[in-house]
Amino acid sequence: MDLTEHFQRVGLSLFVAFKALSINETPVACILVSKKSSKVISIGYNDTNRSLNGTRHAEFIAIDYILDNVEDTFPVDDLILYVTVEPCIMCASALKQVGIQCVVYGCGNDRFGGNGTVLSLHENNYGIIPGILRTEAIQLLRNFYIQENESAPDPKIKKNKELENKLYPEMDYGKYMNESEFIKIYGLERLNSTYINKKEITPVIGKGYRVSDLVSLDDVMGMPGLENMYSRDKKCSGPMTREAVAQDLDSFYRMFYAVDDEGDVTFGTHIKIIGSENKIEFIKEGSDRDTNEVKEPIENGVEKKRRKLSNEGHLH
Amino acid sequence: MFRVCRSFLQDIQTSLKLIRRNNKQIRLEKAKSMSNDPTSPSHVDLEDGVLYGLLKQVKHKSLLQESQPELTTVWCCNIEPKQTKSLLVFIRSFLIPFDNLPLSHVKRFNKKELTTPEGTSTVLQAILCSKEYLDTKEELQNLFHEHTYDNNSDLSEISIYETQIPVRPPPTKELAVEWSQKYWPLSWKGNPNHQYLKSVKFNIQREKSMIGQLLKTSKENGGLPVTIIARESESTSDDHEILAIGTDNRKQHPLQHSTMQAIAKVADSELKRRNNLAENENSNYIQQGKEENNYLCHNLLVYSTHEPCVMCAMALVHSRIGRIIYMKNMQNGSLESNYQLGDMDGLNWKFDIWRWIGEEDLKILAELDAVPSEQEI
Repeated sequence: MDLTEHFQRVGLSLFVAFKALSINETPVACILVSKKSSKVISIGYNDTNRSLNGTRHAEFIAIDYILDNVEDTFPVDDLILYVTVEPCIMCASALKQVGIQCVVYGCGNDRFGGNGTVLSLHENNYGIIPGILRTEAIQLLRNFYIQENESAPDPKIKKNKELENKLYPEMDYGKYMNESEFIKIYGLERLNSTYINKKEITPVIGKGYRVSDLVSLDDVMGMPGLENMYSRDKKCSGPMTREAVAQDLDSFYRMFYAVDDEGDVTFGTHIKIIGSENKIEFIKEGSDRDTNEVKEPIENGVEKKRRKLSNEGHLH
Repeated sequence: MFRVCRSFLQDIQTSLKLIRRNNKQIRLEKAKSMSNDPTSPSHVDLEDGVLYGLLKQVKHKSLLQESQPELTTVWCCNIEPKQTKSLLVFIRSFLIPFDNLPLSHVKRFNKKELTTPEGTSTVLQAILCSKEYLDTKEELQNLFHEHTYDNNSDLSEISIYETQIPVRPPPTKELAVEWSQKYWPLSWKGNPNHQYLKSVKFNIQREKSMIGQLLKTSKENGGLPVTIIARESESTSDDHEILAIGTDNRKQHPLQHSTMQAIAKVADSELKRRNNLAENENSNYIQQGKEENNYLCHNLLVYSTHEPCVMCAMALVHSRIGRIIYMKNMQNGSLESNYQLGDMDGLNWKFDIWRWIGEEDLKILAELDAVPSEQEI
């Protein structure tokens, strides 16, 4: 079973999430695709920090965009959601209420997941396809949270200091579906490797991939509403030109390990690690491939505490 | 002379024993009568969890009647009695301030008699901190190495291991005894929920006035669901300060339920306030500490005509509200009717849930109500 299209679309969401990092939002994002036209209808990214509203998750932004710009009426029975992280309980319920058809997502949402992890609100309502680009989704989140760890209560104890080569927790597909459901979605050939042996899913069975194979400049440029993100990103790339996006894409590609033909993440190879504050500029500066040090921006205690509070709640 | 003295001392000892026995008797009787609870204020119905006959506590049933405790893993160590003091100093300085685990129902030390071929000796087992705070033994060992200088009771070579303790206080005295034997010594301070019900304070007049406001707004909006978000006023005699009134707008947008609307309004006005502040003062804003006070809907009070749906209840969790009082249970509601989302373990926030059971008010709502019972509110 060829899952390339799912990978490409979650890949687009992943790029939007990457962009969210540069406007100081939690890197979780999604796109809504029309089944009939195969077109990206809207994009969404976490907007909780700017709006001061803890409910402005990516899914809501994407749905609101459709209501404001595209359709007047929900439910829209033609929409598939591609999102980097499993929707939270709130979003999973919202998706049901607007009549979504299917949710394809990257990593599970341990604390709040409403599509199988904590609750299963999709059951009898819509389908789910978890695990697409899940290690990449986790990697983006780790880039965001790295500063949290640096500001841990006792600075003598630094947790997770080493992001480099840090393993990803395994995904237990059995938690989300039984074997026959798994076979229906991913194909019998993946049962052994992924359902039982916990290898990563690749777009084509027995073939590895890189994010750069999946996300093209043209596809990114074709997403509606992306320019809004660029206009918010004052410090970095400026207006959304083809050049600016190409530059971002280059940084984006370098943030992830490749996955090999066996479905193993190629730890040991070099990737970029950035934080939310020093973000893209840092990558541009440190163009030589061996810098992975994260500079912690100077901020006062209140700011730190506030961010600590806010970051916890903003996972979808 | 000596004999007289000795018999006198024996007398004293006997009477002391008697007094002790008596005291024990009194304590036992006191504990017994606690279950009927004459100390309970008149407006509190402990059995049903109702206050003033108007507010019913909505609490997760598993929390009220759990016979199997939910366990959490903590780090433990064995020490000799003489090391107690330096260990306590260490725990108080380097662990308690950073560890979120509530331990008030758990005894810090467990005395253990060890029988070896050489005879019996006493060992103290001590809880250090939760595994959630320090997830590896090495981190804890490093802390010990860094911070224990006292040579007389050197703690740096102490052996550390895991053990499991109940997360919450036991609901009954019998379970307190049972769990203490099975897991770790616990202290019994009375039914924890009864303690809570007796201590929780409402100025029922101002709660009535909020319910009145809900009904009034719903009436003005054709009986649609209403959610109000308010800040508790510092003086208990004043009404709560209403920050936002949300009304159902699903005709325009399927997700604009009253609760989502109210949350958005609170965020919008806070955003405006901050922008104004930034424009007017242009500095020192963060230092005023305002930002922290007005973070999302942190600890605010929520009032709703209807039990919120899963989306709305989870939105309240994300917004970190302090308490909700709602009126009508809904088939697809997610507080009392399903899931009990504001009171669910594992989520990163909990809030208090109360249902308004004033008959008069419910009658008015039923007459107004324009919502089918299976609708998601």
